[in-house]
Amino acid sequence: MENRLKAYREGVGWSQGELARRLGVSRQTINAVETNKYDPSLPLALRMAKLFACQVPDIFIDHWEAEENSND
Amino acid sequence: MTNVSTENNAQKTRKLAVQLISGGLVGGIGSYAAMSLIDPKTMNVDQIIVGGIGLIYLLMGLFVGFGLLAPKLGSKILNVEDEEEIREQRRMLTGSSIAMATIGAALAALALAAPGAEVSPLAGFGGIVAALVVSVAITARDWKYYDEMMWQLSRDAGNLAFCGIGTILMLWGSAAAVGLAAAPTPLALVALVAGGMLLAIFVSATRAGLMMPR
Repeated sequence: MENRLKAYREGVGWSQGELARRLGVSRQTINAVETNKYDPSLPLALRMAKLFACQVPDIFIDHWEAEENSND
Repeated sequence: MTNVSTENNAQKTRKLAVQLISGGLVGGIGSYAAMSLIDPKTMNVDQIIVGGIGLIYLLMGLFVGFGLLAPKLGSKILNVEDEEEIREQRRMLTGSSIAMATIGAALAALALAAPGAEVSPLAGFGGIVAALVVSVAITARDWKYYDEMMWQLSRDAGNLAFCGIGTILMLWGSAAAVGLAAAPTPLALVALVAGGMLLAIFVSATRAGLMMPR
C-alpha cells in the first residue's frame, strides 16, 4: 500500500530512528513501511496518524473503490 | 534534490559492494579453513551438505557478532543505516548471533559425528540438543522485544518453511514408499529442515525489503 509516511516524517524533521523510537518499533519497520514493503497493523497506523495529528487515510493511500451494487 | 538522490544511490551501491566483497571473503576463508581441517573426500554428500549449511549459519552468526563488537565497521558490512542502529538492536542482534553460531557449530559437528570419528555420536547429537535449547531460550528471552514487523517476519518464515519442507517431505516420502526414490537419510532430513528454515528467513526478509541496501 502506498503511503506518505516519509513526507510526514520529514515534514516534522524527524529521522527514521526518531520516529521509530516515538512509535516503539524498530527503524527497519519504519524503513519497510516507507518503502511500501510492509503494511503496518491498524494500531500502529492509528498511532502514526495520532503522532502527525492527521487521519490514517491522509498517510495511507488505498486505491480500492467499492463496486456498484448490480441490483441497483 | 537529484544530486542528493544520486549521491545516496552511489553510497548504497558502495555499501552493497563492501557487503558483497566482505561476505564473499569471509565465506571463502571460512570454506578454505573448513576444508583444510577436514578432508571432504572422507565425507558423503549428506555430510557435506549438512556441514555446508552449518558453516553458513556459523559464519552469519560470527559476522553479526563481529558487527556488534565493532559497530562502526559493522555498520559498513551489515545492512543497517548507521552504527547507532546496531546499538539500538544490540539485544536482538546478540541473541541472533549466538543462536546462529551455536546452531552452525552443532550442524558442523553433527556432520562429522560417527562411531570412531573425531566427533562421537553422542557429542554430535548432544550438540544439536544444546543448540536447540540455547535458541529456544534466546527466543523466549527476546520475544517481548519483537516489534510487529518482526512477528510478521517470523510468522511468514515459519509458514513458508512449513509449507516448503512439508511439500518436499510429502513428495519424497511418497516416492520412496512406492519405490520410485530412495528414502531420505537422517542427515538429509536435518539438512532439509536447517536449510529450509534458512531459505525461508531469507525469502521473508527479502519480501519485507530488509535485503535492500540502506
